[in-house]
Amino acid sequence: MQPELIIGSLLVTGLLGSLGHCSGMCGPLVIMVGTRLGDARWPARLGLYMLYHSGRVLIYMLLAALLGAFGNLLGAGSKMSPLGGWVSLVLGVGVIIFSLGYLGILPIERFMDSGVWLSRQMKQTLKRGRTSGMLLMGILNGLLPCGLVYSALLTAASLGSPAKAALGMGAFGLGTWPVLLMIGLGATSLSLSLRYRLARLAGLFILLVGVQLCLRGMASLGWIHHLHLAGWMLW
Amino acid sequence: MVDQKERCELCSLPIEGNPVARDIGGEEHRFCCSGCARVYGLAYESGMLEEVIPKKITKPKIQNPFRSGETAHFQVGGMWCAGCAAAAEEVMRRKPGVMSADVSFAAERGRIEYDPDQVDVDALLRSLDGLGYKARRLSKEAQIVGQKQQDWMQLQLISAVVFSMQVMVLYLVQLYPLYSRGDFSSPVVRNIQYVTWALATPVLFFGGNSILKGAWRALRARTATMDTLVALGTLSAYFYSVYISLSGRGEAYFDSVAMIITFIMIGRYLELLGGSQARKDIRTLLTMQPDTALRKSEDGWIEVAASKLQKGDLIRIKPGQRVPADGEITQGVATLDESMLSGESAPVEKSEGGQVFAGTILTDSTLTVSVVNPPGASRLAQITRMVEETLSSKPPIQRLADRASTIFAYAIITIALLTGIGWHLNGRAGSEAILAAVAVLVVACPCALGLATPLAITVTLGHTTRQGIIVRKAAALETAAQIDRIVFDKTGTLTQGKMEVVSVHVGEDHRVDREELLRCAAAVEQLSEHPLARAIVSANKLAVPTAQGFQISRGLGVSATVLNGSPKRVMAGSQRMFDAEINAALVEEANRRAERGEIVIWVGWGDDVSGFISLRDEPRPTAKEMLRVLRDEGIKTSMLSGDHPKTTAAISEELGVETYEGNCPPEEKAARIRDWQEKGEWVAMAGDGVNDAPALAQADLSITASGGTDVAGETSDIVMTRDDLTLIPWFIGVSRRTRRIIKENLGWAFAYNLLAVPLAVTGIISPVIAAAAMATSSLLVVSNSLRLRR
Repeated sequence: MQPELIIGSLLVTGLLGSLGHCSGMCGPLVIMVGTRLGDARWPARLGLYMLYHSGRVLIYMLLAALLGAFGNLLGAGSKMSPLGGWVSLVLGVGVIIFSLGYLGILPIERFMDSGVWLSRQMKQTLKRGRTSGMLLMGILNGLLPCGLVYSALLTAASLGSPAKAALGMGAFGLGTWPVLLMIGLGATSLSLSLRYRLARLAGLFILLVGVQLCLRGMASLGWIHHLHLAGWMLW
Repeated sequence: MVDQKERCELCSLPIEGNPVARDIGGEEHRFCCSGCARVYGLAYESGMLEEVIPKKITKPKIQNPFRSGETAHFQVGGMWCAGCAAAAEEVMRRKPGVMSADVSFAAERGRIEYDPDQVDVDALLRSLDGLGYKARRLSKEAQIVGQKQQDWMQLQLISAVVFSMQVMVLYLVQLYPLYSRGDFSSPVVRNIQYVTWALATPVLFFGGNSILKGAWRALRARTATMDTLVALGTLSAYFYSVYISLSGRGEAYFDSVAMIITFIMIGRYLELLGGSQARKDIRTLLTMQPDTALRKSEDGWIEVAASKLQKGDLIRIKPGQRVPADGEITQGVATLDESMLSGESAPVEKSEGGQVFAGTILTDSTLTVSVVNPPGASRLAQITRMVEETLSSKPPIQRLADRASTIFAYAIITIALLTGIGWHLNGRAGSEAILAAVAVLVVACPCALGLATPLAITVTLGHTTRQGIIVRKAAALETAAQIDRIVFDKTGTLTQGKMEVVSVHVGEDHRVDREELLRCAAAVEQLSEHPLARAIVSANKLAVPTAQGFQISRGLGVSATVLNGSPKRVMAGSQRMFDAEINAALVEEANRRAERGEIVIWVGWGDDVSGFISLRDEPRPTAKEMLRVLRDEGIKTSMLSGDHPKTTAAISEELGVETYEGNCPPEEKAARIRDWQEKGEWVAMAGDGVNDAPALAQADLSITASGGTDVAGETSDIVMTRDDLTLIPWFIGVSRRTRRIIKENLGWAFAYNLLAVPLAVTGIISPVIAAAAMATSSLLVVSNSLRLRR
């Protein structure tokens, strides 16, 4: 799949996922740190929310870069080579597993606990001042285990280079920014059924991307044919 | 489907698969994922659970359908802008027997006046279904439909955004560079064009579904709206781009199509949010009445549906619960939070005999209450109905805006046609001519008219309702902005409306001290029903001895034998009651006070006059401040009172009223107001509904305060539910602000269109830029209106 489409898909996944699921989980975190906002006026509030989300996107991009470097070492960059094919396949399977876990079909959630360290760090962060607190809370939030995020990370890693991976994950992060607006405007305006549907849609979406990664891997390994459509390589 | 699954305790989403169970704080809690579990644990440990857990969603409790003889109110769903509302009105007005039709887009409400012999309202409302509106009498079903609609719109917006992003990425990264190199027909370009075609199609037909439907409806109602313009523009651009994609003869404009639709939907969504918040504020009022109540019956206290409560029922309310119906306390002393009703944030303490209102929260102690108004007729319900009525009325400026909108749309279509034809005749290629026409259609922005004005009004109304001011006619907002003078009634408006003790004076030799004087006076006065007597009794803080042999001396005063130690005959009244000589200093002081309009009651026993008590109807604490603000704002103030000129003069001087007149019966008040009006002033009157009726009717704006359970009885334009008089200048300020913002919007719209349309006609602006410009203008105008929220 062309990199642009993958990046675009990550953007979309971020959007759908955040509107659906993340607002419910990350929202409370923002509120907890936000109790320190007190009566900060609008420009200041916006700035602080942006700090929080920047922290999140930053850590995502960092993790993606790490994974991307690793993938690069293994040769994920050249999609046509057999090694690249294997990497693609493995990544694809990983994405499928995590997205199925996110959708609740595979019971892997129980293995995805973050441990006490993260909670303790978060608790400490709540005591900090608001500027550094928001940024730090954003970073810590990004470390919270989440099937959707892991799927996105693996997808981004498949892009082949640390830079591209970071870019892809950045797109994912960008997609989650509308959540910022929602929290600013009062996240209650999205009804429950809509959020639920969007969350499921996000999972489905990234699942399809995972499937495509697998197919691409298999094609590169020669197990199946590549498929082109209208000048685009689908897999 | 959503309801059947268990919900995550943090994020409320249904739990898929196996829940993640954690033991937090000694109890087991269940979550959708370990992330939620961690966050919940964190919140618990930091003590912030309350702030973080979303509140339970309660279904709105709906009152009876609103019927009022020849006027029918209804809820309308499926409208996307004021043009749709105008179209709906047109259709209804054309039917015989319909005298007037008003549909408010922002409030999603409508009202018609009709002849019941000719019109079947329900059939008429159902006939709107053919146009795609869902109009129904106000009922529970309609409320749920409203929510589904909002969900639907959000889905449309999100799909528009999602697909548009994909389209834009492709354009930015691939197509623009290729186009700029003159490449229009290579395989790469063709492929990408096909892909963008595929991606833009859902944006236009699903995301922009409401715009297309709106245009269709306008067509069927034989009128033109903003939807018409946008639909024409985007459909032209779309089909032109399809032709380009198939023939490879130039640039495809799917980016314009996507962006136009997206921007407009964002603008609409913001408007929906702003309006819905205001509507929610108003509707939330009603959700605050509980569904059930604890009623006393022969078997004890049983829980019944609140709708079954009747006048005279005894109910018990526990701490933390909301009061189910208006009533009088028969047992108990407690504190209540009445903020949702009156905007008063401080809790109020009430005891036996006190009134409680449906929807308020009981914060401590159990109360037993006797029901006065069943929940359907509670003060809360009355207020809500009044506000809903306001929302379905239209201020003149909005009617003007609606008409202007239609004319504008027709004008732009004409200009676009002329542009297209003009270009073609001038020798330009057909495709270029079409593009220019499209640019014209797209760049024109009637949003100030169609979106921003109703939004501004709805937002303001929501704001004022939250502060405790109920506006009965949206037109009042406009009138208030133009007020030159406010006339006040004295008793009950500027003053508390009841007598209060101002001072107690005793002779210099202090044979009797002040507390003792008051006490003895109270002992006598406790047997009298006179307001002066009640004031004296409540001013006294010491234990009151019993008294006997109460006598009234007409025109003079009262007396009784007070049994306190040695019985004594205490007299209280005018100076003439007493034969004994009174200390000259005291008399002087008493005269001074009488000159100021205070009422003097001399008190004495035996042969002595021990001193006097002076009373008056105290001005409201907020009166002085309010008058000061009005003065600063340049609004003239007057007081007209039926009371004694001396008191009138004294209070006016004290408070700072500019002109005043006493001894003024109601007709005279109305006459004075008429005089001022004839001089060209806009006059507002603040008074007491009952005895100021003629004056209130004569005034351009009428204001009354309502503290009791009969709110609906108030017929004035503005009803205040709190007795904070500073709300009056505040309201005038808000009205002026609203008016200014509406004017700003209209001014901007005028300037913008004047500039942008010629630019589009001359072809300087491409459709994409036109879309961006129009969207920016639209967002600007909507945000300007939303500024009123603060």
